[in-house]
Amino acid sequence: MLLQKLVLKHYWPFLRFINLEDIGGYYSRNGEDALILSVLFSHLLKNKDTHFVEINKPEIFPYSLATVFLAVGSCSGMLINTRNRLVLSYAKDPVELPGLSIISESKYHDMLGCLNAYKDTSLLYEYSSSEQLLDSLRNNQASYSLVILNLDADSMGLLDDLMSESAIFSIMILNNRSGLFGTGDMKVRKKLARKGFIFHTRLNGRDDIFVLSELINGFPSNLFALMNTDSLQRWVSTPPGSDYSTPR
Amino acid sequence: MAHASIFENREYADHTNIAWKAALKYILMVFFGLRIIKAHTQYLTSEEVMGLQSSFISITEDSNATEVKYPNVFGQVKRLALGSKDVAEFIEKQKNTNVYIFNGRTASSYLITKFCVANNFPLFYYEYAAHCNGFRLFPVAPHASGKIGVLLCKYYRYGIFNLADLRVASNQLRKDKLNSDYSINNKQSPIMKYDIAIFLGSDFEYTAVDFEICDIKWEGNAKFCKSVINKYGENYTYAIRCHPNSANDPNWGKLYEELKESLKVFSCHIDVYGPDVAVDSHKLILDADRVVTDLSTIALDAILLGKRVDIFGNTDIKHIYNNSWMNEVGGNYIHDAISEPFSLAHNFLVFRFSYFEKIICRILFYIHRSFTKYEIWRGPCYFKN
Repeated sequence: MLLQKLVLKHYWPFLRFINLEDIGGYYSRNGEDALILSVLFSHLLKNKDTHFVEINKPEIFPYSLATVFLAVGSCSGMLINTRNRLVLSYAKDPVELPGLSIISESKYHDMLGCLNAYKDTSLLYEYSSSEQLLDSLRNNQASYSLVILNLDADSMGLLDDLMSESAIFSIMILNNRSGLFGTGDMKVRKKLARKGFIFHTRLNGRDDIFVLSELINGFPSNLFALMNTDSLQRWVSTPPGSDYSTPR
Repeated sequence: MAHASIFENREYADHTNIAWKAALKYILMVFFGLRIIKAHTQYLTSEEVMGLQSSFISITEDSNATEVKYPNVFGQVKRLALGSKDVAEFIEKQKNTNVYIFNGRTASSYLITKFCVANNFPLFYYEYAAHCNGFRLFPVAPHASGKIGVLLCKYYRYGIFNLADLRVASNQLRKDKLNSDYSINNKQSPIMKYDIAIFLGSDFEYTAVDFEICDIKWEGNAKFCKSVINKYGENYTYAIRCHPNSANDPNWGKLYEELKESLKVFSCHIDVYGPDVAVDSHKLILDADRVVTDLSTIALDAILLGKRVDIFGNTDIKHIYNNSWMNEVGGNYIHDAISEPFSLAHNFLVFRFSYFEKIICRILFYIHRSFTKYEIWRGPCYFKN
């Protein structure tokens, strides 16, 4: 892990490393939901009309991340993809629940979770192909706070399609630990860097969180492609100690 | 690339040792592929002097500065402007290139900016941000306040930051803004309470601003005041507060007479507080029913003090104050909420160096300093000519 950090710090000096291996969480067993909520909290609070997309959600994840945020009251809708079928789930009226009791009564019990309270208001659609899903997304004109996916060809292909159709603010790539010392696929990171996604956090030595530059320092992300650079992005960061009050 | 004159002349405000300049030149040429553009332009047309005027007026703090009054300064900024024309001609011969430039409004950069904007070359403006250990990169001109406001509002809306920390920063900004040294030292009570308080800009700061680049138009304080009174009518009492910086402008006397002359057509009660009058601007704001500004940043003070503000100029403050999303989120507390986006200033468009790069910068800085003594550097800054 130390060697992995040294290599990654060389390329991304401001990358954060967080280990939540044993913290658990509603969404997963390794703190993914806690971290995302922490990273994106201010964004979600101000943009309650954005959505989540989970592409080929791993079966070990018991619930959908978006259900966590629905319960918190941070967003008003969600889109969920499962491994074998593409499913759109859209809850219209968020309800705050005092305790997070997630029970699924959907036929997709093993593949996604949805709140019992939303049984009557959530809509589930099944798509047989990604093209059908993308058509639906085009019609919805949605923007997405977060896209979560595994590092495989199908998922990355769908991500490319999503990017061309709508605004995505952050991406979480799970299980990116190939290569030297498990540092992960650098090509994917450089590809996302060209689109203005800053490599923000590495979780548990395997999951990467990328955030658009507009969210970190306000610089328009589309300009990185114009400048034809994937290295300027390494200098984008938040102020040390999160201190905005003084020049640091 | 760099213009040859940088390494050959000791230009205005340039106090770098010639030996260090020569060393830098060859280091940059050998290791960083620096290309030198030779000086050849001899004259500027009347359309090409705006950058020269901007720097000239800003340096002399005289909105009516002329070559006769300040021949040395004029000569130096003219050389800078001629150099920028050489660079613009060089860029014209390049294809598919991005241009990175400092400031964009000065004698040495305006013609390059003008060319790039007119010919759709991708143009970025860099600025020092040493206090942030890095630099700032603007996708729009730094003086295009309105466009900056659009980016800042978007950053605030979508940004990820610790909300508690931002709250601390915004409280600090409010405190600093409303308790500045100037406001503490100028506490003279206004003559009376007014319905509308108008705050003016300083001419030498806004003269020679290119509307095509900055989207900002400066038509003078007299015209601004007439526009305000024509908009609101003559049934109100008006206070006009002149910008304190105008006191430094040798041309202010003439401008002040023009202002008073232009106000004679109105029958309403108008009091003009000159730039050297120590009237309490915040008291003027608090007592007025409405505050009107053009480009002055006193608008932010007025908003923070909870007053209704009408901003005529295309500024970042105007964009954020009138933004529909900001008003939806801020509601009745927009006067408080507006301090938060401006509190992001220390990270806005900032690109930071890594620890290793910071060490390299520090080494270069000390090498540079070893050639220059700051006592000598500071002296000429106080002389305009």
